[in-house]
Amino acid sequence: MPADNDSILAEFAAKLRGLIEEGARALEREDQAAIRLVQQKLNHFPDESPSAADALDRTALLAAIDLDAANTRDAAARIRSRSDEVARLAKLIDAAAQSAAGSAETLRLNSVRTALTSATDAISAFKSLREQLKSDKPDESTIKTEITQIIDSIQLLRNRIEKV
Amino acid sequence: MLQRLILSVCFLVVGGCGTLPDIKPFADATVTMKAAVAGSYDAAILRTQDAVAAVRVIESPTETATALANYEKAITDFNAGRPHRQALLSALVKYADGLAAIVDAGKQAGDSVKAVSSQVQGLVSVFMANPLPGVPVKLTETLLTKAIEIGSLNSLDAALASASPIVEEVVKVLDADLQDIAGAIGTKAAALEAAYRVPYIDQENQRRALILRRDVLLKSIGDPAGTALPAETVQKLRDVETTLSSIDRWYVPLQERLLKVKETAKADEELVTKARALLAQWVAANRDLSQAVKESRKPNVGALVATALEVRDVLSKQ
Repeated sequence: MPADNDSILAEFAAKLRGLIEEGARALEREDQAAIRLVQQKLNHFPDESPSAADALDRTALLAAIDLDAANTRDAAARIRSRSDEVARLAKLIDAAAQSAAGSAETLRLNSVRTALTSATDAISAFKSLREQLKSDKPDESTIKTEITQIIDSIQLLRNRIEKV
Repeated sequence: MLQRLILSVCFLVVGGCGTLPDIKPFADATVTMKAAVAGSYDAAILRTQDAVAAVRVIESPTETATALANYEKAITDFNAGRPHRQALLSALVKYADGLAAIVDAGKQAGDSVKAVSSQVQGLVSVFMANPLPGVPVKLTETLLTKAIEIGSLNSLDAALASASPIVEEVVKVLDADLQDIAGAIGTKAAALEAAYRVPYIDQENQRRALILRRDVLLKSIGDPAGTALPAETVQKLRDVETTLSSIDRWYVPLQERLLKVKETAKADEELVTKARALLAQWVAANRDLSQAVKESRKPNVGALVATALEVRDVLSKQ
């Protein structure tokens, strides 16, 4: 019955219009869950509509695409609008990273300095001890010789560190 | 002089110091986070390009012009934003590496002191056996190592303190990006499904009508139980089945394509969800690291490491 078919088509046309309006509102609210729900309803629309509603079905599917395209455009625009802020933060983090790397470098240099100080102090301590010993006493003379050997070895070690 | 040195280091030790924290898991997770955010970005661009390709197949410029223009604008904006994010993520990796370098330098410094001390200790072993007062080399080594650790911890504390407010801002911006990417990806599956179905809308309706007809025919032959099937009905059923089989030639590949769209969308969404989780864990770990250095305790990076592993797993499947 054509009259019945017309009224059914009109009913589905109204339903589709309602879905498209619902999608536009969801888009305006940036409500992702609502956009997805409307898309699902639009994609489901051809499964429920009468077989003569090809044009409406097509419009429903195209509306699901339009919703995504507009949503993606808005999302990308928001991302782009944050780019200046991202660039500013990148510079700040880069500076913090360079500062941390600089601290690490200073620590590395300090380690060499510390090792040198340690070796130098050890040499001084041993020299001081050696001066207290007498060469004419056999026991002390032996120790004096051993200390001299130790000093020479530490000096050798210090020279190696300095080269590093 | 050595005694003075030992005494001065003793002051530092009395002040207390913790063991240098292991920053490597944090640095490794930062590299994974960079890959996860970049991967999310890639997914948004690729899926938008997929949508452009699918919509172009519809071949109806008047109906698809707005959608295509929006997609193209989105791709331009995504591409314009991308280098800034790459620079930011690279800086975060450098930051984490810088923290790790401070710890490494501290540990290496301790190692070099130990190396010097052990050589000295070996040399004085003969001397120590003598009745003369020995030089407490081992104590010197311990104190110097502690002093260097304190220096490293102070550097680490300073680095974390200066970067922490920026890091908090960075994470907010990146999470806002990921939220937008999740939104763009989230509506893509339905759009791709629609775009792939538009060229087949007439055939889909024909198929639905045929299925309805088959159901009616089956119902009609199901009623007169035990009686011979009317030849005309059997023929009609055969015709319907033949047409449905011919429709399967486009219907089955279309369904396979739609299934692929759903699987890809699921994988993309999983990646973005995990990337956001990793970002949240990362900033929490950065906060905890700062606190751990102050409290001389081990940082809690268990959750960060676990999430980073999950993200690596998702990335490997992409």
